[in-house]
Amino acid sequence: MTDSLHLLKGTVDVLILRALVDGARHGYGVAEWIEEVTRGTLLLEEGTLYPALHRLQRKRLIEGEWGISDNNRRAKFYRLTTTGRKRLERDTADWARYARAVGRALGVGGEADPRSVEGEA
Amino acid sequence: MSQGHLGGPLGPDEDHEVESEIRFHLDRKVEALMARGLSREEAEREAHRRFGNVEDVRMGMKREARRERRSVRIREGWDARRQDLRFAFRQWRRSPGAALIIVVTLALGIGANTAIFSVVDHVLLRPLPFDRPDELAVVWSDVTQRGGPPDEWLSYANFVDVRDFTPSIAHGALWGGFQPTMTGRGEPRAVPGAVVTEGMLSRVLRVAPTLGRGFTPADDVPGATNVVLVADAFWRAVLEARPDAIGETLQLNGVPYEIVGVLPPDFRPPFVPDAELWALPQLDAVAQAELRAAFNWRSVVRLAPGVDLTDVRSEVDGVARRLADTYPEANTGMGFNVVGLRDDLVSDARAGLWVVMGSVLLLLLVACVNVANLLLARATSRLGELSVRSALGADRARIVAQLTVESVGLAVVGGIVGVCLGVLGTRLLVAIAPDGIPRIDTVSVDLRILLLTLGVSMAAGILFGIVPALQVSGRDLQSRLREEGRSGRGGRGGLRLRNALVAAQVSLALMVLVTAGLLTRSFSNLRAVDMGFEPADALTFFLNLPQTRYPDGDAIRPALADIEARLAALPGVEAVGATSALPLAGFDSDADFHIEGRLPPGPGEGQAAWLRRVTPAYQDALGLRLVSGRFIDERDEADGVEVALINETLAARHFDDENPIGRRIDFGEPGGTTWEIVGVVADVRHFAVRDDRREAVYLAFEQVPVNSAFVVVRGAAGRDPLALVPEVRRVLGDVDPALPAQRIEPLEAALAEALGPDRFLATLLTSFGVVTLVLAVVGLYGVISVSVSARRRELGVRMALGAPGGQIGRLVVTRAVALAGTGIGGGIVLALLGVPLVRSLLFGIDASDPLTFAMVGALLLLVAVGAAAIPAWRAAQLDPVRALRAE
Repeated sequence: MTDSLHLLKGTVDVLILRALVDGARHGYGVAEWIEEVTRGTLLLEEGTLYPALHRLQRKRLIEGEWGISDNNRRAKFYRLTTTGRKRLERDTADWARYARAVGRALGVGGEADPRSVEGEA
Repeated sequence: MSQGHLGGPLGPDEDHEVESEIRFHLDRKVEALMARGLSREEAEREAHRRFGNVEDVRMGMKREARRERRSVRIREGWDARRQDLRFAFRQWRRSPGAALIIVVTLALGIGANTAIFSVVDHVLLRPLPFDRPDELAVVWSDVTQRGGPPDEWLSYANFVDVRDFTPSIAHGALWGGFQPTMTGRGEPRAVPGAVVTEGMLSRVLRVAPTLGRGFTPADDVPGATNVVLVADAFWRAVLEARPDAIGETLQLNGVPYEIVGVLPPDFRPPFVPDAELWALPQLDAVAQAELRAAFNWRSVVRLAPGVDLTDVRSEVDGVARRLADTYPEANTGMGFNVVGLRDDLVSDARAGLWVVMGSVLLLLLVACVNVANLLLARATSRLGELSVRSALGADRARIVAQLTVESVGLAVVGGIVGVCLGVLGTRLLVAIAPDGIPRIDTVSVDLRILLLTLGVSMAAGILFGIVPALQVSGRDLQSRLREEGRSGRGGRGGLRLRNALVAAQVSLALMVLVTAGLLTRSFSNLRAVDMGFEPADALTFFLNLPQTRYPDGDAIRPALADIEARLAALPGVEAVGATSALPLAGFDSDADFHIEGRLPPGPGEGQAAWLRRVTPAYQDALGLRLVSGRFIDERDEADGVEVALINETLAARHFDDENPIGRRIDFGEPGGTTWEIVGVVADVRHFAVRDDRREAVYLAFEQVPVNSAFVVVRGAAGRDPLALVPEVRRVLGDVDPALPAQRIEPLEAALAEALGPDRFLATLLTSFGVVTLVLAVVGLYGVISVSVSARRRELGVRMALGAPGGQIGRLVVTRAVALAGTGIGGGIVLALLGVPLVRSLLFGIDASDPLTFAMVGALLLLVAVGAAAIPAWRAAQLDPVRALRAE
């Protein structure tokens, strides 16, 4: 955790959407997933996920529902809506182009694709 | 990876949800950390550290919740309105008749108002298209002290003194008519124009030429080169828009004028909108000083910025007094009148337009009352449906919203149709408007008017939707429904309101119809006026014999005689005569006269008479009636005894019982010519059908020839005088190829034009009257049929008790007549209050004419009976058994 990066503004949203691709998760699950796939590289105050989750819910990109967690406690589960899935595709493409462009400009492996990060996870 | 099942129960409330989510997260984190071997305290500290500030998270989540609530509210509002609209649409489709009536009613009201407001706004209210137009004014000679009008023309010398000695008048200039014959550029043609003294364009109206230069003081002196400014349209049409046309020469009345400039395309001064040429009079100030009593000019002045008209008037009064002291001969009893330019231009049209606007507003009111009534009736008849909805949980606000959406929807449709009607109506108005309404040719519907009328229709919709909605939802609908069930549908309260509205409608309709009736009868009085001549079958034209080729009487006399003779020889022509001033052609000249043997008039006491020159055949050509003596005839040659005719008014006012024939008259020049009166002719209405009587003298054209004359060609009775036009033009071309026949038109056309404003007003008001009447009938019919169905039970009981159907029918009709009678009574009172507004427009009829009031009242009663006929018949056919069982 020593070399962790602060998240860029707006990145949380796309990460949340990505976290929900494989199915519904509660907030803790999303936080867990992010930590897992980035291997702790990204420094995230886990609490900030919740306003973001609610914001995405208000924008109808995800929807939330109360359910029972695997250890039998009440928890709010979030899942992607169709609009959310489309938004994720668009944001991913944008992000990839952005990362390639910045990478090329800085001369550090222009072909870097965030999806490769995901693959390693 | 936690995978719980979805679809559990909803969380309790928002706060609780927020807390549960945060709690759940922290608990899971602590568990996970403890599983990695941390102690509980360490795990909790670490979990909180990783989570961040709990309070911030809480605030963030609640903010999102608030936003969510807001957007849900908005979305639900929209959904509800869309639902309302769909529902409204279904409602109106179920009863398309009522919806159609409402839309048509509103459209008529709004359309008529759009059109009239556009005209009134454009003609009366909009500023003139000049720089600082409020500074522009007109100065007139006020000769009321001498028994003349307050807006007599001006003499040059008086105007210059008034302008130069009145501090509040910054600039001023004179203008006069100018319609020269242009030769050398195609067919000879009379070009409309104006003569203005230097400064009119540059300093008074503040217009700069788009090409070339304006007039300079050096141009406006006797003997300077003749220069002319041309209108943009003239430059394009005649000079092919060539920039090098500046410096070219125009032949006007045979005199060369150098073109020095082109005026902007939008320069159309409302007092001479059609002027294509602008020239200078090049007056000699010294010579003009001798002509202080010659009122040949009209003026426009620019007032100093910010001065008040009343101040200007008192300054001008002071100047008038000094002028009267200095020039008692010419100026005793002479005042000056200052009027704002726009007010001056619209003074004639103003009263009529205000009456039209008042009437069209009444029409709109009647339309709105109709709409209110129909909506009220509908709302009441839907009590059942509404109470069911209320029982199912719709709150009052929702029901009011529903009814409002229904009526606003209709109002918007009505407004849109109305605006279309308004645009068409405006075009129609402009097309049928008489001459003499300034600026009417440029009237169009503009955005402001459209927004205004659409706003009116929206307001009408909201107002007339909400009022019935509140009425209906005002009390507990359940108890209301039970009550209505007992007393019959409709409700007494609602019916009383509707009765009052219908009576008001009848009152408003009566006001419009009385105005229409008065104006129509006034118009037929005007048409019946004896003009003193025969307008039918005569063709007239204006002839200008240019001074260059016809320098004196010896040149003019044979030319005019030749033209008269050739025209008279044409087949189908009965008589041909000429005059210096034709009735209804718009101008005349006058002079102070003196009867030989009477005391000469003192200063300011001069008696003016119109002075006209006529040829012998003019009597037959115009159809003038000789009262006594003889007309001017062939004996009255240039070197013969000077003779004169006087009109009846002069004979009656100045000769009492004496015989004027054989007496002599002169025009004030000491030792000058005196004229022997040889005959008396009937009065002629010279300027307008409404003309007051005024003294006139006719002299022999031969003895006092002038360069221009109107020729009157009387054709065979019943033949269209216009058929003579080609022959007339050919004859003129034979005599002198450079002579155009100007203003060629049938005499009857001039008469029709003179009556144009009255015809326009009468037509407009009659059509408003008809529309208002139809709307009032619809309103009466609606309320009477509703009241019949509301009283089915009562009527059924009466019939069951033995009242014959006819009696029931009569009852209904009597109610209708009583309703109309109330409205008529109120309307008469209101109309009498409005009488002074129309008085100035009427001719030969009093504004409180009892016959017109009685006729309109009778018409409305008749219409009320007609409107009640169908409901009355239905009531008479009522089956008492079914009527009683229906409840």
